Amino acid sequence: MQLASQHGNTTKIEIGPGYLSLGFLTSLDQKLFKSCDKVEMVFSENSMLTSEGIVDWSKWIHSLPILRADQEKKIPMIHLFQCPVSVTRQFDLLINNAPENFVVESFFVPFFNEESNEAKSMLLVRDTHFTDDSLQIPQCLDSAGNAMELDVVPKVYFSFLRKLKKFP
Amino acid sequence: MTIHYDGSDDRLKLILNQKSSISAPQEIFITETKDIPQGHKNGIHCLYADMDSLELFKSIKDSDIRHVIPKNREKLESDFDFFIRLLQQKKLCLECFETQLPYGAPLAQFTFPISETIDKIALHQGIKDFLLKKNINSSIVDVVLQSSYELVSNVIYDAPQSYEARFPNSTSSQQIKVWGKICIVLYNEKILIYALDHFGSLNLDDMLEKVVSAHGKNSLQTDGPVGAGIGCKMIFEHMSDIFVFLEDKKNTLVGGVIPLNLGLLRARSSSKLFHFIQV
Repeated sequence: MQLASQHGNTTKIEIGPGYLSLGFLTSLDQKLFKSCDKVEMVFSENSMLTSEGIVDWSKWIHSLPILRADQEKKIPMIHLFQCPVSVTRQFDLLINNAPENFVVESFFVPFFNEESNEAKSMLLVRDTHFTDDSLQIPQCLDSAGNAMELDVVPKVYFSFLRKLKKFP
Repeated sequence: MTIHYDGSDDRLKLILNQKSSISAPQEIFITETKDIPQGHKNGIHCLYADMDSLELFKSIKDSDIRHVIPKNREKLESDFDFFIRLLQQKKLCLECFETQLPYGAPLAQFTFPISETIDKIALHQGIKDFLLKKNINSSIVDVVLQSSYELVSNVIYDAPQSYEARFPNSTSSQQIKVWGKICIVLYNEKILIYALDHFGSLNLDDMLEKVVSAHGKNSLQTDGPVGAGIGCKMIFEHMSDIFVFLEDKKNTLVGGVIPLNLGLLRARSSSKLFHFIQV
C-alpha cells in the first residue's frame, strides 16, 4: 500500500511491503511535487524492486520538473528513507539521472554467515553510519553471536556515496 | 560422435577420455575462448571457461556457442554428464532436470494465465509461503520471489501478439496453451526455478542482446521500455546455472539454479553454467 501526503513544504510518500510497482507515482497529483521543496520517500524493508518498478520510476522521474530545464521551478530534493537491498542495488539506474536531487537518508545492507547459513540486513542511517564521504559499518552478528560478512561488493553497492574514497 | 577439445585442462581431458563412447546427435567442440576454429561451424559449441553473467552473455551473443561449462566447479563430471544428457533429449528437457533431482525433492508449481491482468502478488504469495515453510533464509526468499516475478513477466511480455487471435474459439484443450507455469524445486542446497510457456517463440538472440544492453545501462534516459532486459539481468546474476530450452512453436522454458549456501555475493560472482537447447 502506498500513501502520499503533504505537510507544509514536504511531500511524504510511504511505500508498503511487497513488489514495488511504482506506477502509482505517475498517477499522483503532480501538484504534490510541484508545490513542495522536499519529497520524503519512505520504503518498507520488505519492499522489492522489479524491472517494472525501475521503468515506472524512470517514467516518474522524467515527469518531474527536476529534469526539465525549461521549467522555471525550484528543484525539490528527494530524500530516500529505509531503502531496501533491492532498491539500493539499483541506485545506479534509479538516481543516476539526477544524483544531485537525491539524498539517501537510510538504506539496508545485507550480511551473510556461510557457516550458519544465516542472512540478515542492517539499516545504515545518514550521519550515524555514513555521510557523503564516510562510511562506518557496524558489526553484524548472527543468532549465535558470530560475526557476519557483508554480502555485497562494497565498491558497487556503496557507489552512490560518490565522495567516498575508501571502501570497507 | 566426436568430442573435440584442444585445450590443456587435464581434468577435462580425463573426463572426456572416460566419455569417449557416449552418443550425441552431433559433434561437440569444446573451446576455451569464444573464437570457434574455422571449419567447425557445424556442430555443438561449448565454451569451457569461468565467467560472470555479463561476460557469459557477451561471449555467446553473436556466436555459435550455446553452452558454457565453468572450469572451477567441483562437480565438473556431473556438469558434463548433464550437458550430454541435454543433447540426447529429443523433447523439452524437463526429463533432464528430473534425473538431477533427488526423489521426493520439495516442489511447488503454479500455473498462471498469460495475461496483463494477472494477479502476480497472489501468485507469488504461494511461492513465498512454500519457501518460508522450508526455512529458506530471507535474502534467498527475496531473490527467488524477484526471479519468479521477472520470469512470469517475461512469459507475458514475450507472448506472441497474435496468441489470442490464434485461439479465438478455443476449446478447453487449446485454452490450456494460454497458461504458463512456474516451478520451484529445492534440492542439494539449491533452488531450481523455471517458467514454462506453450508458445515456443522465444528469440535467444533478442534476449541476449537485451541482457547485454541492460548490463551497460547506468541510467534510463527515456521512458524505459518494458522488456529492456533489466529483469533478465536481475535474475541471471543470482543464478549459478542458467537454462533456456526451446521447442519451436510448442514450449519455452527459462530458468536456472540459485545456490542456497553461498550468500548473494558469492552467487552473483560465481562462474555461470549455461545451456541453450533448441529441439
